[in-house]
Amino acid sequence: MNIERTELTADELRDTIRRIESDPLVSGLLVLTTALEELSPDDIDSIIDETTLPLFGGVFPQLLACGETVETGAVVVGLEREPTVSVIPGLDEPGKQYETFLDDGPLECGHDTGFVFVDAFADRIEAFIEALFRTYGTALNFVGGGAGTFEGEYEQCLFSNEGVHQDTAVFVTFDADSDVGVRHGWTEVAGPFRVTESNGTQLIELGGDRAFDVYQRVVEDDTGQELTRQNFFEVAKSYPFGISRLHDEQVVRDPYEVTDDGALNCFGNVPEGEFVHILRGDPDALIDAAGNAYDEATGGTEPSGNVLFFDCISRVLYLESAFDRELDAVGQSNDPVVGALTIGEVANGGTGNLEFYNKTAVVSIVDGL
Amino acid sequence: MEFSRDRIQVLYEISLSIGPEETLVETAQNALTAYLQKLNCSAGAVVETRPDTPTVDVVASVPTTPSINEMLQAGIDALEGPDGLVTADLPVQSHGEDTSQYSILDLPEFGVLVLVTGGHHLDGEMISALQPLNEKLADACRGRRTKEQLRAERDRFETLFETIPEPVASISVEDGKPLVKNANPMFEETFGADGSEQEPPLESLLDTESGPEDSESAGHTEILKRELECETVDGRRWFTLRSAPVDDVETRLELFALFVDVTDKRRRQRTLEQLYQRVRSFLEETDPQAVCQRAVRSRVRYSDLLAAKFHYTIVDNRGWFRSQRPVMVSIDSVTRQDTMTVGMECSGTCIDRTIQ
Repeated sequence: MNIERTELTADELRDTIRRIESDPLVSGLLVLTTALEELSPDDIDSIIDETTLPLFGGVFPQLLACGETVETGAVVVGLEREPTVSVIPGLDEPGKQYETFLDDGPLECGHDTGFVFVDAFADRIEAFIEALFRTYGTALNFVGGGAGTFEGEYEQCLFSNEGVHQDTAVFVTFDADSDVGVRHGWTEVAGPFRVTESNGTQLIELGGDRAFDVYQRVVEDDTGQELTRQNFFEVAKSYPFGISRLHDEQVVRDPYEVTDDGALNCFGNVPEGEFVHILRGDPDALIDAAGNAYDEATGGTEPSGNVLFFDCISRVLYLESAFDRELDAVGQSNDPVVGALTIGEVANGGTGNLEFYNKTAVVSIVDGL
Repeated sequence: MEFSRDRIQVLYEISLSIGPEETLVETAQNALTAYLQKLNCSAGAVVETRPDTPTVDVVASVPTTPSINEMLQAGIDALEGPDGLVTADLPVQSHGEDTSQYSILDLPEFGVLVLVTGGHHLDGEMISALQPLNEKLADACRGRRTKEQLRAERDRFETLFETIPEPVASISVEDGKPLVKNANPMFEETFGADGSEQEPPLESLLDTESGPEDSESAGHTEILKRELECETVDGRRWFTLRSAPVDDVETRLELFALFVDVTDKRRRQRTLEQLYQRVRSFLEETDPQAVCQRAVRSRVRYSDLLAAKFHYTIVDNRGWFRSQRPVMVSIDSVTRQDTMTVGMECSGTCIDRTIQ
């Protein structure tokens, strides 16, 4: 694996990609960038057009490279194993059957690791994730996350050799052994509340009351401070929702916006009829959870491959300066070589159901990438 | 031991996903997805079993190709063959070489649910708690299977209804008046579209005062049979009408009516009857010349000839020719009335066409 960081200008990114591409050991390119005015989707499109190797990647809020966070810039990874890249369009199209884009090719090629990047603001991420799991089950270990930026300046936030994409998923498989660990560390503070009305990712009512009213009451009781629409994003980063799973941590749903009629927009579906808890964060618990995800991936032994880390950007926003401790917990003496701070995470370690998570740490040890 | 709140929630949430969907596969798929998500399973399948066959049908599975997951395939394999698991054996759990495990749970009177877990296992308490949900799923699958079978039957019937080359209509009786509710294309081709003046006299369908020759039995249904003349788009024609009640045999408020056009058959029958009468008259005739004249007349009449000439030979009882007398028969092309003249023409030809 050949990794280079670069500043975010089109010329620098082009030069970096050409340099890595010229390495005879490199068979594919992973390109991760943050958003910046100096690098437009058109620039990225033209750079991709000049590339001869299989390429994939996306725009993320922040990146990880060699154990450090990258707030602005790009990370280009030269991959020794040739990736098979598929672009799945229509992640916003109701009723779209994503299985038609997924074939047995990766399994026939002996691939056992998959990277999944999705447009974080697409409405049907879960439908795609379900299709992915129905097709491949646990035959592939999946890692990845949601691309995009909170400001929304990069609507075309995913890359492949076909260009830049919006409302899509980029699904990439490799012939590389991997192990995955998934943990978040958020704990219950109130609930359960039955979701009496929801519409996909919009949580409208909890127990027959407006979702925001219920959430506001719980959060104000716990924090002792007023929760308003204005400070919602700042406060909500510490109080996500949790959906129960047997023998596992709850699946976290991150509310990021209050609508005019008191509904809460979340990253990820909140199915009607199910029960949710309101969770609370504790920096030590979150950092321990990230360390546990690393241990789960390594099996408690020295990792035999590269450490990849996909962590939710909201954990960075919540942990602030303590996030360095989370990075230290992941990899310990083996810093994560590459990763992204994402808007939602995708992972399956081979023992359970494939899920789209929020506010969760996903660690993968990939051998021979 | 108290059943934990989380488990109750999980069970409740699974139950929300169990219910009849558009198809059996969707019903099974939706429920299976919920089982796998909520119970954190790595694979699973809804399998239909039949007591009379050693093979099973995988209705829905995750992954879609079960052989991708060794434990799932092992679970399905355990159901097949003469020594396959039967309902009395269930639930069954088996461990793989790694930490994985399959559990096979009964879906009463439908099949089984196979669940594969990885890092954790479904304990006996959870398996017992899943039983009512499994029954609900089995019920939904059975209901959907029955509906699909009925739908397939209906589709087959509709195809038959649409393509049958005879006029067919479903009739309902409202206020004592029969009304065409649905008709096949041939019905409309024959009697015209809905509301046309050529509608057949459906009242005869309600006349159940018939003798045994007017009815026939098909299973437990009594089929009434009538022969009637109807106005069609091509003029008046004769039909044999067969009607069978769809609902109650006595009330006959819903009927199927099949019209078989017998106009040509009736014409042929009438011709045959006339021929029969002529044959009888030949046999009764003693004058050979009159026999020949009648024969030629009949040949001409029923062969669409306009005229024919012939000669005949009379052989006496000693085998000698007694005489030859040419005869000519012609038919008036309008009245079809024949006239006969006697002349000296050759035999074996006819004016209009050659006699075969």
